[in-house]
Amino acid sequence: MGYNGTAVLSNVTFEVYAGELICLLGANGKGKSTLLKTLMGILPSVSGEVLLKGISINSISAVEKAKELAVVLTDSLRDVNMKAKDVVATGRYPYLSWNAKLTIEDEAFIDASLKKVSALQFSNRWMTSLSDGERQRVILARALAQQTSILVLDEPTAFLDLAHTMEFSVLLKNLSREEGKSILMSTHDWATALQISDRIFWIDEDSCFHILETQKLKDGTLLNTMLNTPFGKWNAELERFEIIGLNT
Amino acid sequence: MNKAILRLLLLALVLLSLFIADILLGTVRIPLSEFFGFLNGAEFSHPSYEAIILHYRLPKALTACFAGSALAVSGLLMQSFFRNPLAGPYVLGISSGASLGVALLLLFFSGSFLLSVPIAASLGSFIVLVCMIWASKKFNSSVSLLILGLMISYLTGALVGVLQYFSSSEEIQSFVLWGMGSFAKTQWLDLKLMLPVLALGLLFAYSRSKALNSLLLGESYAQSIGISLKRIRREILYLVGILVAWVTAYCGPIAFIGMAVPHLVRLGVEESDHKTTIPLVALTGACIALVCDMIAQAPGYDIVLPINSITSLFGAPFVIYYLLKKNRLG
Repeated sequence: MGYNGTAVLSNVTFEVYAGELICLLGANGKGKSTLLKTLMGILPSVSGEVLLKGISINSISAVEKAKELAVVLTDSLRDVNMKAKDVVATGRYPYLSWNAKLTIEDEAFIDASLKKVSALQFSNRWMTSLSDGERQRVILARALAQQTSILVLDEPTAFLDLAHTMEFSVLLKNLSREEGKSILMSTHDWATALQISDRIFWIDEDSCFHILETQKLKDGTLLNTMLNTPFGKWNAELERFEIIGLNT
Repeated sequence: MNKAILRLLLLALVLLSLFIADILLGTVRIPLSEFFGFLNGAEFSHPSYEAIILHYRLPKALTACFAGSALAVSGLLMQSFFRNPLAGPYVLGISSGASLGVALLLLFFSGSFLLSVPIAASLGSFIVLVCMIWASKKFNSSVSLLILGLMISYLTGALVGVLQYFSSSEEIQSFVLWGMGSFAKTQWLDLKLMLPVLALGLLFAYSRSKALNSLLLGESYAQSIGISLKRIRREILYLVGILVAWVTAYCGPIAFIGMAVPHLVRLGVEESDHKTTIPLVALTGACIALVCDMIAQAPGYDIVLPINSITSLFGAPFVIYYLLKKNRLG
């Protein structure tokens, strides 16, 4: 996959199953965003194909795809002049006709999605008046209102503080466990990724793609090789990263 | 739901009042009582009143209404499409094309025959529109389209400048007069062509509300809920292109209404759904155009002010006010 015919990532083959939470990690500029954009269908693949439930995404209509795959992007929507519930309502658009009229059912979905992310209390507030964490939850609610089996998120917790990151992580984990959604999220946060993911996709320094079992990763020494720095290591017993070289 | 309909009806009522006021005010002031009498079949006290209304004031008022609506809705579409509150109907460079067309006619060929100005303006607009349509197929980003439109404006502005430099004062004056904008240059024949186009355009804009709402979240999100970017870009380009071309052809470039009215509506009504904002913006645009026309008529005085002076006079302070308000909240 890549841009204008030039491949940024090559030889990538993987499958994502229902009920899985997969974290995509890797240094910047190595192909994470490219991979996500190709999966979302925004970027055409240079060669090979993306199959959604066995069918190539190029063969299904944009609306059909929208009913299966929802996205959460890095755009914080800070300057959008819409109320939270209107933002979430756009998640129902794939199911609405040209005049986008919401049925009682649609309204119920919107409220339920907002409730799931604990954002029902600001459904009538303007996006511009919400905090980053609140806005991120509304954006997730929008993706939930789309009622899809797959959720793709691009660094959703990048600008959230620790407490909100944890809250968001629990939210996502519950969605994959309880609703059987397939969740693929890119992140830089290794510590969180190791705690919440079932599998980890890793793009290394040479833009090579690796599929890793999270549990095996935590038990083994591969993380040290991946870290590749004299300033830290992975402690498999205590299941945490440790900084080396601090003089305490 | 009821509140929305009530609001629309109220606005329509205001529009009707302004429409009648615009017909009655001017150098010759026609009393309201006589107007109602005329509607009931009575004659006017002065025989010229009928001629003034039918051949001058009515076409002018209708032109103002539709031009105001078309420009305001075009402005709204541009602001939503480019997610930029400063966008207006002229960012695509369409009116610059019209300007160049008219400049070539008046300054280069220094002639004008019946309908020549609208034709020249339309041709100029059409050429720019074709360029923008072609570019929208080549460019993958809307920002690039925006920049192209602005660059076209600069180019045409430069060419017009050169033409003006080599022209006589009469030629320049006739061009400058065109540039000041006027609702009074249309005949019933022109209206028969113009009004259906504008009305259809407004209806089409309304029908694209869903896609427009999606675009408010940005193009990537819009795509993710099934909107075809290529299609909506093409549709908006054609729509705004045609609306602006027609208005500019018959009225000249009218400043500010396109940019300011959407903000006015958004400040008053806290809604982002285009199904609500498009009709409101259309009605408000018509009202504002009528108000500007009435002021330009300088009722009681023997002069007529150019429309663009009035619209800019209201527009600029409004933008400043909007900036202040926005910064206080944000």
